[in-house]
Amino acid sequence: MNPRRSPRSPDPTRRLPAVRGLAVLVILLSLACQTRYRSAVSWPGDSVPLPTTIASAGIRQSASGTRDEAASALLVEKSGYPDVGPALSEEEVSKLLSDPARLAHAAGWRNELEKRIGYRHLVVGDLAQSRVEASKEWLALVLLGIPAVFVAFSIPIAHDRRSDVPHASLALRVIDLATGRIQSEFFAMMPARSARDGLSDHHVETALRAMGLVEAKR
Amino acid sequence: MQRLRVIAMLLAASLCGCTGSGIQLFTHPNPTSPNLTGKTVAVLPPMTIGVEQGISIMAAAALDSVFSAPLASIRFVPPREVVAQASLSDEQAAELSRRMGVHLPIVIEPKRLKTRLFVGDRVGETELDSKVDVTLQRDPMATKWLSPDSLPPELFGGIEADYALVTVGFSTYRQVTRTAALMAILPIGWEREVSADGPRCLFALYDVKTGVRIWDVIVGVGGLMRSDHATRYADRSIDPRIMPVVGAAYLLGGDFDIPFERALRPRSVD
Repeated sequence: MNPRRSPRSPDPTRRLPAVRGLAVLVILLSLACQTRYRSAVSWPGDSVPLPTTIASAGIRQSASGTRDEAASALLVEKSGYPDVGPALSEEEVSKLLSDPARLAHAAGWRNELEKRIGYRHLVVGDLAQSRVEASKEWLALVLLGIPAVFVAFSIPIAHDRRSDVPHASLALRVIDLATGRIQSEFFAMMPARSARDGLSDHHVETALRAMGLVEAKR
Repeated sequence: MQRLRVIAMLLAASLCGCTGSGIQLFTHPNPTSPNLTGKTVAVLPPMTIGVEQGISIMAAAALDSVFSAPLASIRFVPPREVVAQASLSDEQAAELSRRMGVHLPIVIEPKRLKTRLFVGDRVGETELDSKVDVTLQRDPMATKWLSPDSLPPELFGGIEADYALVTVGFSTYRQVTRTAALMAILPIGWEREVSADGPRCLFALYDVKTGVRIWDVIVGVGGLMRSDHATRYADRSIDPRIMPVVGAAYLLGGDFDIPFERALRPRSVD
């Protein structure tokens, strides 16, 4: 037996591009095969420092206009804030959840409310239904292996578009009753079933953490 | 290794999408700026369409800063002074919000006609974190009015001004479901992502005495905002949610640097 390689057998170093190509293919497949649902889009509110003394006005179910007792209890439990929600009417909660213009013009009502509940800052939430523009895409992954170079790229091909697809949304905000300013807001889009099934610990903790109202757990 | 790195970068860019460092403002439709020289414009506190208030919160602060002083011989009454002056009942404030809660087009894409508004790392006395490039894109074909033709004059609360500038912040969201298919044939995975479009505001100018609208425009920031962007912008000096207000001030006053600098000034905490 001749230990030497035949002159016609391939040089191992020439196999390197193919091995690299295979490695890239494996990475590509492992990335592409992840099934993800990234839905939360949260925005920090105004970057002013948040107060330390806050009361909870609870979380409203927007569809019915009533207080979501389970979600409100969760908010109180996770934040540790006193619950003043039962002292507020549905109309008052609705007013707290209105836009900056309406809050700004309601100085008399805000002052009266602040005196009645004994807190200047309130955290209030709204579990609502929001709509999105939905589209579907084929992401064509194209792999080209040419000598010494391996190229991978993707081509998105849109094939369906629909308007007003329902989603659930959670808005949580801190309101300064003295100025009428919304000091901070967390907003997240969630799968539509969240509005039916209710909020989980995770939703409330994420919102409070994003607003800097509770310390991140280590 | 170098080749692998290039491939990885190409892969990451194609899968994750690229984000530029510039700020692309756009308007819809393509408005002709009104002649407001010597006039007084009362800037009302912002309203909102939908349940998300984040854009209006930042717009409220930006409106107070940007319109705190005259621009190009136009006198402005900022929102905090309007609130102090106007005698508007809660019902009237709610009615104004309801009337302005128009159904706006959900998909508005930045168009051609690009104008560079600003390039640099310093605006007036304010130093920016990095070089910023602000452009404005207009759609020359879009002409449709978006806000109500007129509003009852009593909804302006008897403010002392010639015109009232009404601001409505809103956000739009897109859900994209992607099915990844190898060589466009073999499906190997899927992902679903909900992203927010860049912040946008509708601005409408009404004659205070007659309640007739004389001008309106949507000013938005192009591109998509994914969840990780919010954290990133929080650490930066330019929050994209102030930019529609700066864009509107540019359209009204014809100057970009002054309102841009005012919007970036640190604000006092009440």
